[in-house]
Amino acid sequence: MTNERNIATKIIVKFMFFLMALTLVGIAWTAPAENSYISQAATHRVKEAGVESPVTAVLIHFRGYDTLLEVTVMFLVAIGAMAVGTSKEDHQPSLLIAPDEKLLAKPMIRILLPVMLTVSIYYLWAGAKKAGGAFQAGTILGAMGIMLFLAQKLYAREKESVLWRILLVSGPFTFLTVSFISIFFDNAFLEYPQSINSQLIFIIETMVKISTGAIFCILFTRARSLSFLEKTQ
Amino acid sequence: MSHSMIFPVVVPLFSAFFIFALGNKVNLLFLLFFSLSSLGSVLFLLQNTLSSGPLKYHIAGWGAPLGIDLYNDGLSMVWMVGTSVIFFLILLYSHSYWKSKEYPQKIKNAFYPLVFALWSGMNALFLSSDIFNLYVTLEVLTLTAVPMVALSNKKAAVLASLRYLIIAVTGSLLYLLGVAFLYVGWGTLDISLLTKLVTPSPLSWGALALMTIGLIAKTALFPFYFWLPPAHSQAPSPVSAILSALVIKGPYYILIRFWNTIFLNIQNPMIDYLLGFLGAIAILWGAFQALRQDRLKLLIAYSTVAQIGYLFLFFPLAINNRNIWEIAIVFALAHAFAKSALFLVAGNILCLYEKDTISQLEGSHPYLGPSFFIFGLAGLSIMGIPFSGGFVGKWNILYTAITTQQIGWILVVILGSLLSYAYILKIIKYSFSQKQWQEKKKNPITFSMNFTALLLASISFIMGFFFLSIIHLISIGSPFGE
Amino acid sequence: MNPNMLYVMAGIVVLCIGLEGILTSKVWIKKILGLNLLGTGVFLVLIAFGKRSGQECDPIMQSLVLTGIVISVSVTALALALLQKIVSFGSDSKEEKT
Repeated sequence: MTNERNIATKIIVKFMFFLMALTLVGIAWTAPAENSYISQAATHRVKEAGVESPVTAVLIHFRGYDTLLEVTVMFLVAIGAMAVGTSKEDHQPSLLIAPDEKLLAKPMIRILLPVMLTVSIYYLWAGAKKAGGAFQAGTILGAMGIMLFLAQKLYAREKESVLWRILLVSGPFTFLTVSFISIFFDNAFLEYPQSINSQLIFIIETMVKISTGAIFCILFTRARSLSFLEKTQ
Repeated sequence: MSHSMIFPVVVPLFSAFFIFALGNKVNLLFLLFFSLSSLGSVLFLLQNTLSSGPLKYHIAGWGAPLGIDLYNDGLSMVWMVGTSVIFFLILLYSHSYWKSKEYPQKIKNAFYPLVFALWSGMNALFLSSDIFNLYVTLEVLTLTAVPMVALSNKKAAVLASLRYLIIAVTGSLLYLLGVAFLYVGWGTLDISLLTKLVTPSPLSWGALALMTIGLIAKTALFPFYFWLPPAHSQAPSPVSAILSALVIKGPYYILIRFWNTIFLNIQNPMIDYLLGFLGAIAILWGAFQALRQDRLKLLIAYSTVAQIGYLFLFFPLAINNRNIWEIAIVFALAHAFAKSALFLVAGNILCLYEKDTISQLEGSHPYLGPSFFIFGLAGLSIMGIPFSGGFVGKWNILYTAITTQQIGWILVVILGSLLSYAYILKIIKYSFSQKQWQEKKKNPITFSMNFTALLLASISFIMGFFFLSIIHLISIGSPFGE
Repeated sequence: MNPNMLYVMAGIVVLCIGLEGILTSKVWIKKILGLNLLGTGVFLVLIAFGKRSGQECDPIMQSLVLTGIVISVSVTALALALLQKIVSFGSDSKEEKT
């Protein structure tokens, strides 16, 4: 009996979600077919922003404030993960399950690391013209850190380290500082002076990239810092 | 262009970064410096707003619709001043609290940056004039509040914080879908432009429904309240105070703002009545549950569930009577001050004997005299005793219910108030008992812990005397129409 | 019919599946997966709305989604950190089920 009732409830619940999907599709159907005025404005005013890719223009210039808050959000989650996290100091997960695999893993890392570094720098550089940018580059940087961690080249630590705190905070901090300083040069908040526009953005993007990489390493390991030195007992 | 508008966002955010980088070196001096400058940034904006009226700021100089605008009128200003004072006092309290309870350094290192980031996020939320930017600030609120709940480092706390995270993010994503509908329909994300453009259509109704559901889930209105009591009661006490007093008010502010801007032209009284009805259930259910609890912090958390109900009674009352929103804000602020004081008192009690079981408070008044006094003072506002901040709210609910012939709400308010007398007096009665206390004293309650809680409680009480000046401040820029 | 409406519909279906997972599933990891599905669905709707007619893609929508994805990644990371913390406490009670 209860089983049948359970199935009946499940079917009713599923039907309700189906109705919800139907309603939402019905609403979406009524959407006007024209792209909005501001999307055209965004496409046309890209040149004013001094970059070629419209998406980058929106992310850094038109809606840079959102991006600033977004970088802050990532930083906050890293703080949360550090505070909550169970550190893996005792049982570090590893790619190297059998001793033989060291033969494979080590050369692989040796080949992959420089390639990944190059790709991540390329993404940063490509951001001005096409899809790419600090976040994508930082993700690859983070992946490098995680790979080193899994291969036991980097070790998770419970100890606070000034270096890692600064690594985590440098991206959002640089972003905020640069965008704030511009108000002393007769510009609005987040408006970069025309003459050194691209240099400032390069500095911000680089720092955000480094921070993003560090944040991903912390999120993965949930340690308070990472170190190249093996812990001596 | 005056840059005073960005300071309430930038200064606390800088503080968060500096405090994080300082790590273990943070002491009272640093905290005072950063919290005073954050408070100062808000007061500076207040002074500018008082002298020059509502302000608009084009971030990066683009201006809406292409860029993001900040907009500050009386509505956002009052919220910002209220929250900043509460943040400031809770930060002072928390410094003594962590010290007194000997919390591990790890917790402090996470708590202070998160609080300052939350402060900045709330100011950003109040100032934003862009519906997508509001989504981002909502996520800043969520992602600071959730780790703070987990700081207790108990299994129940971490479970509560995970449940909170899932509900809060679901709410934000539903809100985001609403943003998509509005953007597709009218091609802009700016609130003031949308107010002019939005017309009744399936898209705007869909956005209204999605955004309302998402935001009331985050405010913890009745059917979505279940995450609130565990999260607010399991968190460390200063965190509970911040969550109950401030964080849930963020989405509520957005609802009020949208109700008076974007959704003004597409309003349907049925939705207002539905929200009022849910609020009525929340008042009775929350107060009833509060009465049943034997843990002080759970009692206070259920009291929040009930008080949120009152906030939603204003929706049906505001049909054709938009000025009542000003009272809603006074009520919400009075609740914020009173509730933070209550949670800080609970923190004092937890500090003294590591538990907050109500029935074991018998005979504790020689040690907890000031705490009981503060609890009573804040309780006056929660109960709605004449001339407190809560009284102004409840009186105006009754008055408007009569003048607009919605008599049903009167019964709810009276019943809810009676229940709130019961649960506040349930605690106060222990200050009169004659018995010897059974529990052992653990940690001392310092002067600053009582003092900050007392300040918060007194503000909530005397708010009833100067609520007209608050309303005068709210009416800058007339957010609720002429 | 505009082919992009197909993506909008797919997004809506995905987000409804995610919502169902969050609301009805009793296992935390499934709830977190549901949250991810809900997010992905919403982002798919946003992206698909960004290109409705034969014009260029809407860069605003794309950057909104990029911001949203980063936030979604952060949320997932935090949720998993919390879940792992819960697991590390051991299952001395049946509290894991909602």
